[in-house]
Amino acid sequence: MNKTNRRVFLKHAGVAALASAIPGFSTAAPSAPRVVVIGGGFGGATVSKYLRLWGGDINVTMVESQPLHYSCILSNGIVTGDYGLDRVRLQYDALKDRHGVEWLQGKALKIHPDSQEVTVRTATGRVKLPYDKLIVSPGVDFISPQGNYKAGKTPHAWKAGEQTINLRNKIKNMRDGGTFVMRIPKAPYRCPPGPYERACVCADFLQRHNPNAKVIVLDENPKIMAEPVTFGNAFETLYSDILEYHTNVQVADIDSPAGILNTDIGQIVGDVINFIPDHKAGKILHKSGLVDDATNRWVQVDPITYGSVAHPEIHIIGDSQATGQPKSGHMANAQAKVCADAILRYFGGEQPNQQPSTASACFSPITQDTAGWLTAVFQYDAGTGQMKLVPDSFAEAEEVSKDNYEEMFAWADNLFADSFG
Amino acid sequence: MQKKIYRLLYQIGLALIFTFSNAQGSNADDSRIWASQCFQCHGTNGYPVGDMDEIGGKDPNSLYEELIEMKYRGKTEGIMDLHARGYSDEQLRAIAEYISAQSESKQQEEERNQEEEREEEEEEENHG
Repeated sequence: MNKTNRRVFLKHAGVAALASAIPGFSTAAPSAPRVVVIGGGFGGATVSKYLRLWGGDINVTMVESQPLHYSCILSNGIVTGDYGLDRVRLQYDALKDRHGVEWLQGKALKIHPDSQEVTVRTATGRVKLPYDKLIVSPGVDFISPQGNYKAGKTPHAWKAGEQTINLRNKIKNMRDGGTFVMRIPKAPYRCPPGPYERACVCADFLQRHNPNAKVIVLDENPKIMAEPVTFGNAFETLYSDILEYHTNVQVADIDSPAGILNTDIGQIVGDVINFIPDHKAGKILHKSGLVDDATNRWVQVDPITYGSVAHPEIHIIGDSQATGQPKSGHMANAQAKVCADAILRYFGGEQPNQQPSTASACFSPITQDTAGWLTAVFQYDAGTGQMKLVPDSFAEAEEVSKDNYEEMFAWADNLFADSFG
Repeated sequence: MQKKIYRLLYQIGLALIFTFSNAQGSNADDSRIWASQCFQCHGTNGYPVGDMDEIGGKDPNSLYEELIEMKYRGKTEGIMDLHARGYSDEQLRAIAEYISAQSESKQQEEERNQEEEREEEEEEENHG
């Protein structure tokens, strides 16, 4: 047991620890270790659940500004009107009632690494939450483009909820023969196949409901960033009459109200523009001075614990960390388990697992009833100290199919349940 | 010296308490991280919702043999063949053992029963 571990360990000694060790004693003792989780997406929900499931005697407090979560996973089906927002609505009830997670509605404003506290703004005022371990899983924040950018006029719909409905209505109500323009941000961004999936299902929707419409996809990247065969085939065959795909496009500025993009391939005018801005780590990480990677966008962590390199007692999981693993809800869930295990071992005076692995899987709809998939496993590489893709585990589906489309819902529902249930 | 021994005993006591309070969930062995990567699709502890294979509580040898078959068959036949290729044989063995030792939670059982009842009702309606 190292010095820091012993200190934390002894801090939580006492009669209460004895009481809480009795089986069936569900609530953590007041003197049990305090873990604060910022963010109630896939990462935050999973880590809260597994800390309680595996640990038991841990105080876990989740801080989240919204009363429920809308999953980005499956949300392209809302954009095309296949189902409503309720399909991706996830509640915090099970975390609270079943797993004993304390839940605080409020906005985490700032982390104070020196005093190990978080300032949170709640409906009744500001509070400071002390922590022994802090987990930050805020998802992404967007970098506003140059020009007159209004997210309401040119919705990104890259965080599910109001924005998703906004884009849904704009596409549905687009004039006959109108132009739908999509801008794909420079990698790394949340959900590598997501933008191409959206281009496909929107093209499919427009082909059926607005056959003279046009789809222009402007990609900042040099190539299709995920499932290149699946999406490449779809662009060239299914959607060749309706969809134009351009790579390496730099957008100089945007005029959202006018629907104009000035780019290095000329001025692009859209009746509906789905502008997905570039990404960076969640706001609170920037405000608290924790963003420290070379691009000044993400937070460097040790993938054995997800502890920040600068402040090991602050763990960052999901989209905001800089390990280079794909940014997605499925991966946030995967990393949350590694993080929960490491934190529980830390409180128990044990070393973390030196060989963590994370797994990724996802299904991408290509039409209204077919889908492809993408999958990968990452293993820790002690030589580089990084998570490394296992090449043999990495592949996209050989063909899109109706079976995959059905399986997509089983995958998503299980991911929802494993994270929030 | 005596102080040191007391402190040591104290720490051992605390460590025991912690281990005991963890015992209900599972042992904090390395397999927990690897096995829990299956739960995103196959449900927490291997007990899924809806149409996905249940793996929790299955015989460890059958689970392991199935994973090995998936890993080494020449041509991949689906997502699971890719996943099996992501782990060493030792990891697959540990995953199989861990998942085999997991039981269904009360909530999962209740949800499964409700789901089965719903399916039965639907079937009855369709035939009636």
